[in-house]
Amino acid sequence: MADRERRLRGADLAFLIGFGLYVLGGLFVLSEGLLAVAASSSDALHESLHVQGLGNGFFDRVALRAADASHSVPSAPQIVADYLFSAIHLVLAAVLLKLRPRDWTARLLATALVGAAGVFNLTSQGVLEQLPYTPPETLAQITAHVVAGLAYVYALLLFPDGRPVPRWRPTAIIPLYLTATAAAVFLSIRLEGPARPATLLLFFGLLVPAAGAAAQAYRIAHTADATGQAQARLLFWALLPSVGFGILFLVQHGLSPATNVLAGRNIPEPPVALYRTFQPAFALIPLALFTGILRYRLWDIERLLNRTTVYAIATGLLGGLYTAFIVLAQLLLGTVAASPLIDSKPAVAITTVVFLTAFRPVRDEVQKFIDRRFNRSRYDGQVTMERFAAELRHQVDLNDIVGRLDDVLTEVIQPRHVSVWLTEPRTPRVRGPRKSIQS
Amino acid sequence: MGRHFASIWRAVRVGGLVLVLLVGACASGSGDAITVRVDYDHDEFATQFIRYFPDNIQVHPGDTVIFRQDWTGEAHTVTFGTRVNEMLAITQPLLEEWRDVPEDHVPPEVLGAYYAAQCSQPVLYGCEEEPTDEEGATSEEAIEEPSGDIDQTIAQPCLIEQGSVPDDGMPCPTQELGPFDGTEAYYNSGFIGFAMDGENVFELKVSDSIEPGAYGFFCSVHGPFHSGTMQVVPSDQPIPSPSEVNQQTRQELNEVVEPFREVFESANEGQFVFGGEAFTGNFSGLTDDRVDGLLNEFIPETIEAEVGEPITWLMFGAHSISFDVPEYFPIYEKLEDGTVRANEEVYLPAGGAPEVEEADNVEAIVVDGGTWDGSGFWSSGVLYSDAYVKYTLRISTPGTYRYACLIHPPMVGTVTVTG
Repeated sequence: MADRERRLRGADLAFLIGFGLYVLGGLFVLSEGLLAVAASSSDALHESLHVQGLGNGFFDRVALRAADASHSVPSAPQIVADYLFSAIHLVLAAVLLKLRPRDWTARLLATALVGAAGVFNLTSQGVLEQLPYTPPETLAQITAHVVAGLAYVYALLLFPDGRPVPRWRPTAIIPLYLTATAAAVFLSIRLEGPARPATLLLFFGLLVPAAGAAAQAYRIAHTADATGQAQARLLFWALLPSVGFGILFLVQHGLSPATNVLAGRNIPEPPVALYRTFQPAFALIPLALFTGILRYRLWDIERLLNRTTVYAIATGLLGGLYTAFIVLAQLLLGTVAASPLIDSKPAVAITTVVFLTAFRPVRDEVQKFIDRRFNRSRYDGQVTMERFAAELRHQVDLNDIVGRLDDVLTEVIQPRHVSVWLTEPRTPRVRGPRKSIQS
Repeated sequence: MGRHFASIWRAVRVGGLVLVLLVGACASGSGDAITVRVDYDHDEFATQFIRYFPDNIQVHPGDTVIFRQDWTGEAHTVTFGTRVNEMLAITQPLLEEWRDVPEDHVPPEVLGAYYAAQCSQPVLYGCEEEPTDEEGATSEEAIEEPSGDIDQTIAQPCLIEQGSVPDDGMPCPTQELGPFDGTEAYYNSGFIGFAMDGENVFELKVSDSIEPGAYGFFCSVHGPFHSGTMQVVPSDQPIPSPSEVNQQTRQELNEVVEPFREVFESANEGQFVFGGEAFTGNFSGLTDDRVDGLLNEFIPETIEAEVGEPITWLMFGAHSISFDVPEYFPIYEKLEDGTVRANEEVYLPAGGAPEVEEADNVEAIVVDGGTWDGSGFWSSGVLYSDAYVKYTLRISTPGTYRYACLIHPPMVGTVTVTG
């Protein structure tokens, strides 16, 4: 058991390190795009990036790429669409990991979402294509695509119960998965030429939804549970547009570019049509996943949503009050020269401490409000418990107390059955199992 | 278990921060090395400059200078040595006086002195021997097809400690270049690598024992007008930092690019003035008297034509008009034994395009390229005239065709042919 514990911790650590690096890489790629966008609207930044780009270091290449790409950034709506897509993916990845930090399906999905956030962001990818890749950059680019693509495929194969499809024995399914993985990695590495990023995109753009749709179709056919079937059906339909667009694109353009004219010339010409086709199609997948998670209350999502809402409201409330207080005080006392209350750092510190101290009570109040307004069962449960505690002070009959306890527990936590053991007085009284309630 | 997970997560966050700081510390900046750009491809329009940026640098003994080449389609070298200093001592004063004067207005004795100095050592362009027939007379018929042979003393690294530089075109016996101490007779980088394979850098290690003073360098492909000076300053005296050198480089680049910007904008509006003459039409490369370089663009980028309608390009500089091109390959290739050969496929017509007879390269050349049926590799071959080349082609099949110049990688255009 201790060995298993250690193994788990080792695997957790390995995942967290790998995932952390992957997130850093993704954020780095996304920030390169933003740097190019900023340089496109600032001559001074553009010029200083060019000066920096004359050097020989890693960040000098970054600066040069951003400066060069600043002349060809997409239009403002396209940039917004790119970063909205990436932001949604990153937030969903964070939510998944928060919900199920130890669950490998959630981890795979989170990894896939982080990868998709970087890979499908045309603004950022356009920057990366500005300079010929160095060997380490080529390795990083292929690794990023392969990790994102395979994580996505595996996540969709395992979602939601973590059991791989088809439901074969491990001796059959492990070789199948290994062979498919090896083939995908081999093909990704073999892709060459200036169209490689686009072809990688197309390859995984087709593989991910095709494998996912097949897996969900299998689940629809082989799952008796109606909820499981509904989840699978939702995801299946969300995956179909990507499959359709991928096939359509493949029929029109093939796996290689129609003309070789750009090959070897280092002329960045991002496949805009490919990105703009796959981006909305791929946005459907995580949205369907989360609709499924919400709709069918998978993975304790209510808890997370509740916490997020409470903290957001509490922070917003106190932050707003804090800002309002400062602004108001400035308005009222601003005319008083060198007001020690406002201008002095201790005053600001004291105000901050006061508001920070107020955070917990405010959060509790907001929690109560949210529970009363949106989470009635929890609120009712709390009220019931409080009422029961008050009743106990006046209740003396043991049978009545046990009966009442049974009622309260049933109402508040809805257990499948309730048992009460009493050691005093001499003859223990046992009630239950009373009933079975499907939670 | 939850506590373990939290502590792991905390460790990862701390580790990540340390990693970011380490990467930042290791990867930022360019160290102490001064960088010199060899040639330059501008980011708004494709350019080529026969210059070093900056062309005057200061170093300390023991420093490293990085010569980084933008691959614009043109090969370059960085060549130092006492022989180079002797040559530049003659050519640079002449260049300063006569640089802006057209060559046919320069007195013959000046030209003679200049070329005598330039050709005292291997230079690829400008020192070719006049081809002669059997009777020793210059003859057009005696001109041979490109053989692919390149002077290996120029193309491969070469170190000659003392004495004269051989003119046999053979590879040097010593190709290992140690730190440069200023006493070498000839110290040549060879062709700096092709940018797309990431080998476009020549690192010059300045010896600790080098004497302070000025050391000239030049490109043995293009001759003394493509040259620079490295000032070695005693270690206790200050020199500009790499960052300051980069700022100087950028300033010089902005200055030389400005005339091209005017030319580019004017050509996009349909007009180009060169040698006092105004041209309109489709342009294949442009140039400007104020700049030692070329603007390597097809302007307009897209040409629209009817089936069979003559499409005419005015070519300034050496270019090709090539359709259905193979993957780009540079004008030279390095064989396994180190031999450097010209890629003849770049230069020769292909796909039925007519061969163009050699001309004196001074007057304009007018070429009718015939008709292309829209399929298969077709190339005009490389055409050049000091004036310009007027090249006409018809396309017999409707479609959208991408075309390119086989020399200059950024030169790509589109012809849309309607029925």
